[in-house]
Amino acid sequence: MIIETKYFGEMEIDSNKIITFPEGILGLEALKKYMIFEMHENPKFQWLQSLDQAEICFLLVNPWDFLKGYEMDISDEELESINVESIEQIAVYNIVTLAEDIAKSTVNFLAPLIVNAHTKVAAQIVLREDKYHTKHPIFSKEGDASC
Amino acid sequence: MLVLTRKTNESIMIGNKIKISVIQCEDGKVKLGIEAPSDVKIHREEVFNAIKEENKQATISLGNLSELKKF
Repeated sequence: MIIETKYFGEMEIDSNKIITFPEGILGLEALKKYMIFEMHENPKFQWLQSLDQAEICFLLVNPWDFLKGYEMDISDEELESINVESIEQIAVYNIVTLAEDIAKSTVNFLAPLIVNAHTKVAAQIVLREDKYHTKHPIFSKEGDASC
Repeated sequence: MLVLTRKTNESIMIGNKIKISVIQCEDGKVKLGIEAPSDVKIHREEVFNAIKEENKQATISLGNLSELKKF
């Protein structure tokens, strides 16, 4: 099928790869269907493009590329909400907020996206860890070293 | 909004599965105990709002993308 995207115009996608957020993303609950695209220029980043509203697009990272000790405690109910049967099925992403000065961009480690890689059902969950918040500098000095 | 007055150690029930108790009340702070089924998500409102706000910001600030290649 062909979809409209924010940055790449119309794109042909494989409808088997469509990701469904049954409860949406917090603040954008009405939007359920998304697609993840790799960023060719930098494999550490992905795009999460809404299929319901073309101008909605997020930049994602894999948390462990930026914070090796990232820990998340996901409840059984949250796992059930995306029909996960084994932990290997889960893919984890965090949303990046790009700043005008890109070096000051931040990543939301408090509320990761968990995706069932098999069924493509996903949810945004809120961690109970006190050590994470919504604005961790992503390109901190330590971060640069690990990139 | 329904407004109820409760004393320390008193509770309210929301439906028949959610119980909220006043544990302690001191210096303008109220400590609440919440008993609810595990599928009910409970968060401090400001945490919830911070995440919503962050998500909205993240959708609109995609500028300067070529810079990303450097990182």
